[in-house]
Amino acid sequence: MIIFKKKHCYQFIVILVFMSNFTSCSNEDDELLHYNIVTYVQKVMIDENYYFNDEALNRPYIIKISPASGEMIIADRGNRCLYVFSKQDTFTFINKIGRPGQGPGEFLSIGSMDVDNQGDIYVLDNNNMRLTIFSKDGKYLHSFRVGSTSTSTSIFVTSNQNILINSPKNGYYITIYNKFGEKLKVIGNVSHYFEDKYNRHNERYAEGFPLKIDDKYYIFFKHMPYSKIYDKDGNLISENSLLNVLGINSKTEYIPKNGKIKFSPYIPVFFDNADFYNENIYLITRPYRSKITNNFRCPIFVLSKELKIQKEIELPLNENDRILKSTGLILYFEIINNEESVLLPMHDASKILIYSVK
Amino acid sequence: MSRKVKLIIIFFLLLDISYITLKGLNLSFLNLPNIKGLLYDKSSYNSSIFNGIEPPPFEYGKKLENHFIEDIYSNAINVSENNKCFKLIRIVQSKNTDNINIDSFINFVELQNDISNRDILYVYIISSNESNKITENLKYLQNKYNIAICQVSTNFLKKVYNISNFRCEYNMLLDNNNNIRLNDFGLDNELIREIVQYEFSKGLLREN
Repeated sequence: MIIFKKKHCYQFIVILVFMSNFTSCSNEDDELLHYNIVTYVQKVMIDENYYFNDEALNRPYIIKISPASGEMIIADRGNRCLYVFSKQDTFTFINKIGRPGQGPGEFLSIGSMDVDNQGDIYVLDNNNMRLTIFSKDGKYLHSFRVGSTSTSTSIFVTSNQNILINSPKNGYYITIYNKFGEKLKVIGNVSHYFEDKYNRHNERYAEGFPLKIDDKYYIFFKHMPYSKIYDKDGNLISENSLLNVLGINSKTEYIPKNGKIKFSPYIPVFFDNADFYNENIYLITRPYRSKITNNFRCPIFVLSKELKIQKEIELPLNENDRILKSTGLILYFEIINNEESVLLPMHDASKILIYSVK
Repeated sequence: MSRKVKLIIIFFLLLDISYITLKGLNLSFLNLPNIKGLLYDKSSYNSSIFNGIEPPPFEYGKKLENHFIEDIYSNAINVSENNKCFKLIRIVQSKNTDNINIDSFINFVELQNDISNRDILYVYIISSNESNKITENLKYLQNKYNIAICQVSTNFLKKVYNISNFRCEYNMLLDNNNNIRLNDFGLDNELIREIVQYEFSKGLLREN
């Protein structure tokens, strides 16, 4: 017969207190995951057999809707040009901008694109390492060199037509130019490089997506759920892990199933793009195969400016879309119709998908 | 209370405090990326080193002056003075200039065939730090394909073309006036062909 002595009671109480901490902690984590998850329906908007102007899409990379005209601008990496389509439901070809080459208004490798509120188009050319600006009707305005870029360098044009470029190769998280190519400011020193045997720096961990929201500069990193916020003078305000915010970490997968969140061993979360629409920040993850459902997943997280999660948009991907994952390119997207729809260019499939609630 | 029990209580209390502290700092249980120390596996990032892109050394339209090279027969190829045609130049780096990467050369020959109707001077430059040794193979290739093969030092490349330590082939298109119409690393033939044809159609560039 076991006899409980007084000292055993003390030990038992201490163990109980200790365990209670862990229990309360796991409940707290569960609460973080309660946000609205909206699953969208996929439709093909432009497929690989759609011909216009005696040509077809060849690796469409970026889509932007011009705020000024509502026209859809597609950056095509294969044809090395921009295509402009009308805003009607039946998208009609309007104009082709640029062509392959190194002359004015020509591209060798389109890396990133954005459109300002007047409709002017900004295109980053990785090979030519320059930023080219076109007017809203496609007329070449001017271009300027922006220093070293990488295949995943991202740009963001602010409301006052300044250009934010993620520029870790130049030593900064963000370099800001005005529309005329004058360097205005650099934000965030990138240090702690890896070096290879050729003494070349590897600054890939500092690659990310710059945004300017109100008077603050945000950088969302590509290879980790992490962000930094700087004030207008370039002083660091905060560094934020998005692990808690999104309810994910590098060892678990979150997935909605029967209204509950389930965890499973998971691959790391990479982000493919970030953008700002309707006072919210949209973060899209790199497509990956779920180990629970075995399907491809491509969620977009919608965050407030304070980095609180608002909702998640689930973009179903077909098995045929798996090639997206192997491209290694940034997955650009565009929110249209006041957040109701998402445009997604399928780089290797040469088609444009449109996702909507129904 | 015995000493043993007190020690156990202190032990658990310390564990408890350390857990709460770590949780408060959001560190240990979330795998928070450590930006300053960067605890990433170095090997997993090595592949990205080569994503870097070399900048094109010359601006479009820049005039290349005093550009003299010799082919393997020591015939001077006075590119600067040859104002009758466009010049398409491919530069490769090699450990031994007495030999040639035949795949790369055949690739250049294919490009020549693709744009055969054009009046273009084709120049294939092999660069190396080692002493040059002209082989019969190189002479044979030059005679057969009508492509001028040149051997230059890496110093020459740096001085004349402003390039060094590149991995991909460097392609350059000069027009009749030796203005740069294209200069970049690692471009595929299809793109070069398209650009050459378009640059022909542009005609002469306006002088700045």
